[in-house]
Amino acid sequence: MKTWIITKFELKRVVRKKWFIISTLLTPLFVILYASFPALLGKFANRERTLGIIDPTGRIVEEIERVGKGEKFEIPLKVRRLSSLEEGFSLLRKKELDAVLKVPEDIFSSRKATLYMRNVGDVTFLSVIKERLNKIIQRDQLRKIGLKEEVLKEILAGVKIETLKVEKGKVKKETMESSFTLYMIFSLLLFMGLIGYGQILLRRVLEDKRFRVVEILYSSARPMEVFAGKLLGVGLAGILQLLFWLFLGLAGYFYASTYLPQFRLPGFMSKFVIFLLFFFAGFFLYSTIFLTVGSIVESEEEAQHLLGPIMMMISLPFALSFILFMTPDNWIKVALSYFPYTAPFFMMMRAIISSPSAVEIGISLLLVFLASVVSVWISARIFRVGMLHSGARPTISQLISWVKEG
Amino acid sequence: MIVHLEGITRRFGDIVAVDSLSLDVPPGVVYGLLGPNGAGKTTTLRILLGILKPDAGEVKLMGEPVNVETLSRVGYLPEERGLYPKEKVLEVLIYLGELKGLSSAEARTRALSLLEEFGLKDRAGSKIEELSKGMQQKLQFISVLLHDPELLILDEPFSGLDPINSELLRKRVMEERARGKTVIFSTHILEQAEKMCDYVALISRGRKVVDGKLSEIKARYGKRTIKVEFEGEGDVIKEVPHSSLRLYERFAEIETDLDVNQVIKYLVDRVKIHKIERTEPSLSQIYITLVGGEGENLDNNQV
Repeated sequence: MKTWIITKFELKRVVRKKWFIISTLLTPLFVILYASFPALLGKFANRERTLGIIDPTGRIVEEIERVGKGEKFEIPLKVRRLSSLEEGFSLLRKKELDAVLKVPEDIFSSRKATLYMRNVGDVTFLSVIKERLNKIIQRDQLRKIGLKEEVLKEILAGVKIETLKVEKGKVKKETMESSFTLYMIFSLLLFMGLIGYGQILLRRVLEDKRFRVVEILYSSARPMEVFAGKLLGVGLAGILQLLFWLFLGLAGYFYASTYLPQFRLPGFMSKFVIFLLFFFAGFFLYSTIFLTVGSIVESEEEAQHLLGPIMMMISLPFALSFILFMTPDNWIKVALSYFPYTAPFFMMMRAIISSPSAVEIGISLLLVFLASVVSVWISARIFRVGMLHSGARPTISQLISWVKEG
Repeated sequence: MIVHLEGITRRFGDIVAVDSLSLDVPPGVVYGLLGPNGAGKTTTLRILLGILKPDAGEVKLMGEPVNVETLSRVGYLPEERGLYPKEKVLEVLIYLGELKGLSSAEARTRALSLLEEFGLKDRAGSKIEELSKGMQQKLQFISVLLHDPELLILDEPFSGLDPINSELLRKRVMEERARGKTVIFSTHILEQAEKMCDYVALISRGRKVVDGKLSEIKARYGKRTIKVEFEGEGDVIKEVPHSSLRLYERFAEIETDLDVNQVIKYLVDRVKIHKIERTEPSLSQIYITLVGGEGENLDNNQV
């Protein structure tokens, strides 16, 4: 089979390249970094701060450390008593303090204080100090009314919210964070797979055209065989890479979920399968766009010009999906999860956070698959003629006539 | 006939690239497809390789409509040629051999022996882009010969070749013919064709002007041609009664019913004659006789 010979050659060409090996090994690291970014950011925000206080009342210094203790999202706070502003400033300069709080004597009535910060952008820190001061003052006033300590505690206790997901009428313990991380990883793999391998395919096809290798290919095999060989060869390279990553990911997941139960995601395997199905269906839908572009242009620059709007078309749903992730299912989300070009992202998202029925997922998958078939068919016909075409870029009506002619 | 084209027409939009063209190529010959750039040579070759479909007409390759099996017995060198620059010499050759139906092992053996023959054996592991231009050209001939095809189709094979590779290719083509293979090549350099071809077809604007055995064509159109090498004011030569004339700075080809002595009478004392002789007409001359001014586009002095 000529198709297989071409597939084999194209696959070998991609897989043996240095960048392929490097990207195969580095991407998991990148994905881990990317996915753990919010947590990492949180960690930075939650590092311990040191606050110097000039407090003539003496009561704030005493209470401010105690007030927030034991609350989940509070940041650890170290307090130092200062005698003067000058002392505070010199410690700020030595970076031994993050901020200096100057409390006036009448703080309980005036409710005013001054904060000198090393980094005014540290909003988290500011809000923590504000909240704690508020609590101290509120507590003081409530105490004045004569409330007992136990009652006070009850009044001032914060609210804790636990997020639970209901799937098929059953409550599942699942946090927003873990769903979001999962969607991030899946959508990133999907996006990189579609764009990355599409670009390679484009370059391969363009090369065949520019160096006229296509004439040798066409005089040895049928154009359909050449087309299929290119698509499958580059596609298989992408799929091999993905399988390697998924193997790593699965191993990591099973390891983590065995030893750290908080990482366990209910229904993980079914989501995983949904991801794989949409990846394969979507892969051919997107890669044929790149292949078609490669077969009708003459140079890389020309290709990039044409790709601009196409990349927008692909990136938009990807970016949009993160914005829409937080919103409950609405008609936009549902519509996008059926439109073939956005379905891989949006149906995957819905499968992760809400619970679409198997029928809904099936219909969406079928639509993506059908669109892929149509797209492959059109692309193959344009490819056949386009690869031999030179000179001015074909017009839309020319492209249509190629499709009809093929 | 190894190639049979009957009434082939192919249009690109409003342009008719090939117009009711019929050709027959007998086996075991060197066949030249000749004409100026844009005459339809490449389109004709692409049609007979099945790369392009004709709008009308019939193509038979080795007695059959073009198919993958017959194509595996054909070697093709496209005009603007190149191979994957980032890939390794031997790997690309094996790939192209496999595409022509060889097993991977056969392709490797053949490729290595041809690389040796062309003095490129030590470059088998190099990337193609690392080879010099001349070496890349050799590599391209090798890719055509890999599967020992019965029919070689070469599109403008001499264009861009240095003299050494040009001679190498000419020799190899004659060797292939001696081994019973058929070679079809296109060129706009008629002198080259004249040296090598048994058969030729002259085409112009997609139409066949004449075809057949080169010796017969020459006999048929062999008018009385006198070649003069001279020094002096060439316009004088225009006064010699002629049916056609090609006049250059120091050289002229005159088709005339006069004999050499009579021509000398016109010219003597007016230009300095270095050499004068009666000759066979050149292909270029026949071409010009047949198609008129358009033949002037032929790049006659390129060899």
